[in-house]
Amino acid sequence: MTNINTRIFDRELKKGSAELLILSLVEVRQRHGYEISKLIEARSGGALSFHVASLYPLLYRLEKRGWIKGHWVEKSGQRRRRYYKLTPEGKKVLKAQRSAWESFVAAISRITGTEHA
Amino acid sequence: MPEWKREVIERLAALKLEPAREAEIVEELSQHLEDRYAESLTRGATSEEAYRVALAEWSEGELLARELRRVEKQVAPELITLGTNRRRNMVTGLWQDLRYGMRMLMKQPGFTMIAVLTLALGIGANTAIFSIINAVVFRPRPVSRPEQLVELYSGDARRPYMNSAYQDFLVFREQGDVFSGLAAYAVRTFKLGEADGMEQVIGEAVSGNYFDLLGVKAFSGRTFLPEEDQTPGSHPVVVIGDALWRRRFGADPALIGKTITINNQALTVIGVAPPQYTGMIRGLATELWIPVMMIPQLEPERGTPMLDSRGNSWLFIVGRLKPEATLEQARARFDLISRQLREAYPEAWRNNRGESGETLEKSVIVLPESETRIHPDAHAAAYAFIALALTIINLVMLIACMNLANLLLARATARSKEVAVRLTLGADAWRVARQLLAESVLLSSLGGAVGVLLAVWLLNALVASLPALPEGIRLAIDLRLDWRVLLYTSAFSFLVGVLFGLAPALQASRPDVIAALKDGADVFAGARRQSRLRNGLIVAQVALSMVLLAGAGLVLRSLRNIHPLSLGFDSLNLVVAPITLEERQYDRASSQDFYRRLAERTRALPGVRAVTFVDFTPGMGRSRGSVGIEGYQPAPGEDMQLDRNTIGPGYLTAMNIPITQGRDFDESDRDGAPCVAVVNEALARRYFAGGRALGKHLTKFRWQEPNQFCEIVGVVRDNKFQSLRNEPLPWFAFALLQSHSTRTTMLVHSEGAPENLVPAVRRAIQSLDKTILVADVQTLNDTFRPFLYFYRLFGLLVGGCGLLAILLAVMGIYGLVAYAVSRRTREIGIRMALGADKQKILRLVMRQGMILVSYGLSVGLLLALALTRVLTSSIFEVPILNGVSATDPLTFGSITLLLIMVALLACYIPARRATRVDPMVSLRHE
Repeated sequence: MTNINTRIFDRELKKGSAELLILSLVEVRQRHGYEISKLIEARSGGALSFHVASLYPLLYRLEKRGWIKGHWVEKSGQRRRRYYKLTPEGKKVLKAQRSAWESFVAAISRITGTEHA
Repeated sequence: MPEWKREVIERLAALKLEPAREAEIVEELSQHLEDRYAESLTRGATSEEAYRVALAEWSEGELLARELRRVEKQVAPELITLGTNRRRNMVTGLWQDLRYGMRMLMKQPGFTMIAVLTLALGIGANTAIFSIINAVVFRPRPVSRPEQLVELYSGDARRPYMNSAYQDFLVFREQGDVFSGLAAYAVRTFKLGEADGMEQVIGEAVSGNYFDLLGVKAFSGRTFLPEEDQTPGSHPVVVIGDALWRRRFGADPALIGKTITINNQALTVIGVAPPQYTGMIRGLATELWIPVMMIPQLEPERGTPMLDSRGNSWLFIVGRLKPEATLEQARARFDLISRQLREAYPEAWRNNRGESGETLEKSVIVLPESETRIHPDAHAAAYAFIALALTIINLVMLIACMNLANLLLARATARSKEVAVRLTLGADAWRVARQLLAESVLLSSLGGAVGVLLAVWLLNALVASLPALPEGIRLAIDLRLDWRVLLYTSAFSFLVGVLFGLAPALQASRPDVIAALKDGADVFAGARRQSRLRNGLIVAQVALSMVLLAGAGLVLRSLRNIHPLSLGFDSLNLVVAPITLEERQYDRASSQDFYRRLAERTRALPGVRAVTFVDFTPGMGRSRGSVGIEGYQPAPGEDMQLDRNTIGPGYLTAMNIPITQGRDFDESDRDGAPCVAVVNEALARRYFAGGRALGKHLTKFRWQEPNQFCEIVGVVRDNKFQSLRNEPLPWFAFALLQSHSTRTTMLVHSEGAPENLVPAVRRAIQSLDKTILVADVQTLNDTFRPFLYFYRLFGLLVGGCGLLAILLAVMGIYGLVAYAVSRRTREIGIRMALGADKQKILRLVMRQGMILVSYGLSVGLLLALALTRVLTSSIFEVPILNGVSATDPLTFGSITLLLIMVALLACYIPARRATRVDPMVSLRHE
């Protein structure tokens, strides 16, 4: 595969899974934007990175849909930050997306014959 | 520490987000960048490097803006069904707009009330007119399954919608297999009761199956049985109407089975019709129904030829189509039947002569019930009147809408700063416009609701004001508001709201933003577009007012012209007594003898100056007849039917009609003496060389007798007694004592007030023949009343609209000038402080308004001159204008003057107020 193709491939994959990523990251506890982007970078070993331009619009979109809820938290001695947590609606969507993703991966694997990573 | 906030703000500036939202985003993103920057520093980067790293977050430069724009604009989540959510949000938006609009309107109760009232007047009048239209045109007859009904007319190319003969009805009934039934009906007048209690009523002669076919069930008793309509005169039965039952018989339940006297014969009442059924003729109250078979007995002067002769076409035919039959099938069937009848009975079906002498063939026309509610011959005139009424009322409506539009524009200007701020912060211009539009629709809906109430009141007042009509004619029209009327009102209100709200809403949502935000700016001068619109509205209002007032002026002048006072009738002090003799009782000699004796007896009454006879007075009918004129050969197809009268001795003299040549009729002009005639100057001029008619002859065409040559012994000046038309038509008259007339009018000239003579005249007539109807004996003025009613009503409509138009125009001009003054208060203050003459300022301010008014007047004048011509169109069948031309200079002149004066006043008042204000106060005015 050439470089360009990889980039496009990456981008498409990222787009499809971005929501899933965010939702799962705020499932356990609430996090703020910077924290989310750091986690993604860390847990993917640097393979995935979300910049401001793509992260926040996505957060706002998810918030508008009612899947995550953001609120301002002011901790003493710090500037206030906006934390996001998963809503009950979001929990349902996360579950659905997770299973959809798993089926999708399984299907791809069967077709391409690669082992599930 | 770099200013992250500034960086973010810069990048977001293009988005024009709501300030609060933008602040949030800015804070969040700048926080993120700060964290990134701080982290890089802790990792050991230099501040520059850290800065670059943080900025790298912006690497996809445009992407952020694009993404944010998508998100922030998004209203609905994309994955949930697109359709429902968008609609839901639009509905909530609309509901918000309405609630907000309601609050805004309640903040200015004065404005709201004026607006609602104006709208209520216009919409209410419209609704009232539409109710009338609905009652006459749209509502089906109150019978069962009217959509299955059709009516048949037997006519030729010249007059297609004529009635049918009884014998033809029998043929139709027998051969019309597309119909499950066919019935016949005809409107007749009957004399009900005896002697003093005798009154004339309208009834229908119907075939036996009439009520069954229509599905009308008796309210009490029963309707006709088939055997009651088989042999002439065998079953003297009658069904009476609910109104008559209540009015004359006190709703007596025991009336069924009793007999009543109709045309001096006893008939048994078998049933009462239901209250909602008043006969097949729209608007006419049918009071009783008798079988067709009874007509020869009840109208003996016409006798059995009514049933036997094919030449006697007096019946309407109504049929009910079989469920599986179509109109086309019916038409085809009756084309066939027409052809058969033409072959079998050529004298009746083929022998009519056209204008050029060609033979006309009769055929049967089938029309659905919906097209026969108004008689097809009257369609054109009826629709013309409806169109005229609607046009007039809607011209006023238009002016009112323009007024409201101007008011709304002024309000919008007052709120322009608020709107401008909203727009710069990213609000949707369409949203702003929509909210303003919601306000105007709300206003018009309120106006519509009040208007409906107004309409009900108007209609009740109209019905109550109807004068008694002669000859026992009563109106029966159902003016109740039904779904059609309410639908019309709702749609109309909505449209009106959009109409007057649209321009201001659009204008207001696109103000000159910079000018609006700057304090103290002269928005009036700056917003050129808006002031052009307002000025244009004023010009249009004045122009339309001009048109309306011109029409009103012409109609009102007409009204004065046909009033008995101005016709000179009033000075005559006449009692008018229509006389109808029973034909079987009075032959030629005995009828003439009757008139002689009646004249004698009446002349003997105290207070009687003279007694004369004429067949019809103007306002009570018009008589025409064919005549041959000596020495004049009519061109082929020329209509030799001229206005004519049959007059008694001394008529012309008693009526003060100037005789320019020859003499009046006298007692010696009777049967046995040479036949005589008089003509008017118009006839003499038209048909005789040099107008010399005296001594020449007219040919009197007579029925079943040889024609007579009658010498013209008198020529009279053209006068209003023969016709109320503007240009005199040719007219001739024959002598009563040389004719066989069973229908004439006795005119009693009274010394004093004619009202006092009426009872005595009635007694005089009854003393000679008890069976003659005297209920219609009245003064001449009273005979004009129903005739004038229509003109009065029309005058009221047009006059009222004209008045309203002036009022609205004045309000508009006043508003405009007042507004201009308020905008230029500072300028005026400066001028006055600098010593300007108050008069000069006054003139300056008024000039602005009067220039617009003059434009409006010019346009209006041209429009009015073009449009008033419509009033003289012959499509109306009745002359709307009498004695005035459509471009009467006096009317137009006075209207123009009136408008100018009114406009001057409207300009003057606010202008004067401006000059009164202390210059210091106006200088400080913002």
